[in-house]
Amino acid sequence: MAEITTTQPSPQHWFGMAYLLIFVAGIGFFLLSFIALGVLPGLRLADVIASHTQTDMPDYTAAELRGRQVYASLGCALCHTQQVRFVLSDVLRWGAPTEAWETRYDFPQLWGTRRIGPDLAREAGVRSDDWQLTHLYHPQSIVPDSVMPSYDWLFKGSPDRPGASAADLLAYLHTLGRARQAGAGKRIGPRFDSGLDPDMLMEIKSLCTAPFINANQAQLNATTPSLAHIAATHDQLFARGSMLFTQNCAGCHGANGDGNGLAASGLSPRPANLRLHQFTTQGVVQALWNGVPGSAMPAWRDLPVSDLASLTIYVQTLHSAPVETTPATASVLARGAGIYANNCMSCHGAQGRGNSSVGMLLLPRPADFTAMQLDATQAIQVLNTGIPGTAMPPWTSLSSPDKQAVSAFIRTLYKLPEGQKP
Amino acid sequence: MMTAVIGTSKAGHEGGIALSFITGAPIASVETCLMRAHIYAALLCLVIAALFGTAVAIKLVQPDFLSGHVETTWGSMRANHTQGILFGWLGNAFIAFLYFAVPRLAGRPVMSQALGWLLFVLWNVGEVLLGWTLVTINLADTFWAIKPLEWTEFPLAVNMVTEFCLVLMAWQFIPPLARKPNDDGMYVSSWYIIGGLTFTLLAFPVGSLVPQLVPGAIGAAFSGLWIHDAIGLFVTPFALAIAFYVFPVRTKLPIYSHFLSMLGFWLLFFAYPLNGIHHYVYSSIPMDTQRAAIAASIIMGFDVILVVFNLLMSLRGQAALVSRDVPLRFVWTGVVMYLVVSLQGSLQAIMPMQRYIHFTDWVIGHSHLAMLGFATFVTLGGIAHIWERSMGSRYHHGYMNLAYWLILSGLMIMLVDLTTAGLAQGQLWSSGAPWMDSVRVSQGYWLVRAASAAPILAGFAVFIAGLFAGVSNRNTSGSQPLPTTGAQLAQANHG
Repeated sequence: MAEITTTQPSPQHWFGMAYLLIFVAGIGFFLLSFIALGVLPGLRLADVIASHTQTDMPDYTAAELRGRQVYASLGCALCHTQQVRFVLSDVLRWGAPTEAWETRYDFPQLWGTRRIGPDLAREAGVRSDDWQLTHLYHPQSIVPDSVMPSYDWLFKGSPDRPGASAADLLAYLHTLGRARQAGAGKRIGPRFDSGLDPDMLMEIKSLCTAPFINANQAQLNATTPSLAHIAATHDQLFARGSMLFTQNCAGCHGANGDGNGLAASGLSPRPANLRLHQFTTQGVVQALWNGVPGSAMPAWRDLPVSDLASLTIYVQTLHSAPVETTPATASVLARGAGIYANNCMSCHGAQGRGNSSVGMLLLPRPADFTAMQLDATQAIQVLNTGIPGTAMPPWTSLSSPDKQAVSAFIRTLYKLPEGQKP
Repeated sequence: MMTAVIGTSKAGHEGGIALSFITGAPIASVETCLMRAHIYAALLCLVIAALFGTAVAIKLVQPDFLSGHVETTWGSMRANHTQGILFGWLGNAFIAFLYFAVPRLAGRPVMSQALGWLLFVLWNVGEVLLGWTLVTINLADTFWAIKPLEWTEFPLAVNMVTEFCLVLMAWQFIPPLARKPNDDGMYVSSWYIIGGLTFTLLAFPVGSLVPQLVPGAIGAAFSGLWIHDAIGLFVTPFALAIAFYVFPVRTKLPIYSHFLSMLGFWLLFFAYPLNGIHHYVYSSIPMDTQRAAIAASIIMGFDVILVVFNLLMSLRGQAALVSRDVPLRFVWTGVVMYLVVSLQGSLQAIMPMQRYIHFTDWVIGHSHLAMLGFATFVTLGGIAHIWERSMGSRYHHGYMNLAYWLILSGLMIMLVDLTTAGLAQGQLWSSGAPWMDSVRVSQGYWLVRAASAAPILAGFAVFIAGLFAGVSNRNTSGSQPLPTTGAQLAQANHG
């Protein structure tokens, strides 16, 4: 080494070691990783994508693409993944795992690596537009414990007046999982080994063959669980129900249940007033377990059945309307029945169950008067103004005594099950 | 002679000659102004980026904090936090270290002062400042918009500046190290510098651009590569270069084993880039690719054991010095954290662990252990070292010591807190409980995490104060030092 130091440096000569570092460590190992973990799996994935038909998978529209850009630039992907993993707990919660063909129009990918909020890969159709917009405008108003930031600058002052970006974002949310829900992606090519633990793969496959509906997606004509086996006492259920109501319901229905929560102003139809109206157990259970399709009321099937019982008990105790002192006379009821038959029956049905052939075509469904007893004053108010956001029109053609008569009549349709206290 | 030049001269290692810049040979001229400028920029960016991180942490506890404006929304501030730490803080600090170390390692100056100032301006104005600004104002055009890609959130326009800067960096620092002759052969720090500069030059544009051009799952594979390469092939090589530099200089002892230095280096550059897909385990990316990445992650853990063993064995019998000498203690702590974070990384790459902790705060704890625990501790030690060995001033020992304990305690609180939070979240997610239960459980942990920012921020502030509160030996004739004793002179010029 010593003789080198005494000579004049000759800068054009490079160390052999430097060549090794630059060409092997720097360039060679880069190319190795680029090809082995980038290019080769990319080619495999291109084959996998080609092995599925996607004729019914439309590309994004211009509005959806703009919405996607809003989603990307606001950092939504930092808290919401768009990737249901091939893992049981993911599949149970959100449905079928995200496959490569579903991401074929995604430039760049939005899979994400952190979940603070839920995964959104299967979000299309789960919540109503009202719900989504109100939630974007002020998340805590509709999900009280949410830590999501408000995006109110995307709106023109209120949740029911979205600006262009919010409308685009909503359009984009409608695309998430849309192709999968429409049944696209049938395999036509060879099967590729997913390489998962066979037991787990089998379990995931069997889950995926059954139709999957998100636990928060409202659904029609669905069954409800029985509350008969709930062992807890009324007081225990009430205490738990009170807490659950604050956590989950107060945003829309208000802390005292009067339907005037923070989120209510953005929702159409507005949240039910749980104080004025009276509900049967089955009525509450149905609305909680299956939601109210056509309104912002989601389903709450992610809650355990014991919590469903707790909430039901609590909601029923909210009813605080004054007890009627003077029951309507038979002649008033007869008059009301006549008006009902002529005007209301076509939607609300002969028994007032809201299930006439016309009513079945409407969303939200017409009120079921056997499961809900309207407050007398409120019923007349509804007849005067209709219910915005539903098919219920204002009945200006009816006289005031007619309205009182029909309101008295529908209240008699309310049927308390055996043994239930009014 | 040939064997000597291809790296077996063992200079700086046991059995080899001592490094000439330690023993007192004349060293090539150092661009001190550039080095100082990058140190100032690094420290400023550290404070700003840490404040971005603190704001984001507070927002998780109090969503209304600074809300209602696109400029201060959570997503933008988080992007500014991560990119600010990566480019603003660590990038500037690494460049500052290179200005100090390359002339000593190479025996010749860097390529050009003018090129240096161009790099300084482009790096800080064209990249960090422009990036922060564009992220803050949130433009819609693809070229100017925030990218939803981890560790490369700055818009494509800024990425082009960054890539140009990486070219300038390679040209500024690689030729001096790579040209012969060099009295010491090529020391291990130089290997990491050359390897890291070359690799990042190639990996950064791939990670930033390819996912924009190829769709979904295919692009995710390339994203996965850069997520890992940003840490593994940009941050890690420079941090290790600092560690391998600072240890022998401050202890005046050689590195334990030249063989382990070689093995550790080559295994790192081979295995680290192959880790990337472990960010997408259980995805639709082909399972054999996922398995390869998991295997490489395990190999990586073993490699780090070798590297850290080699470094810590170089400190045998130096416990008293490590506890007394604050820059050495910073670097030593960073090296220990490097071992912990890498073993944690290997553990969390395996599938049963991924199933449970992926997407949780466990991973956020892991990334802070890497970027704050490993990279920042090593780099703070490196900055204190080059600050002390450059002319102008000494650091204040008491302040530095206080800064060490403040940052360390903040980091430990955050790490334990986020790791526990991640386990709690993973447990709730797999239990099938309603989603919001996991958010409600997290809120207490997020409060502690936000509070842990206080000691960390205070530590950074005290560190910066410590740089300026020490004894100044600046004289009136300019920026050149006038050491009063021979020992100070030797210390000022060497190492």
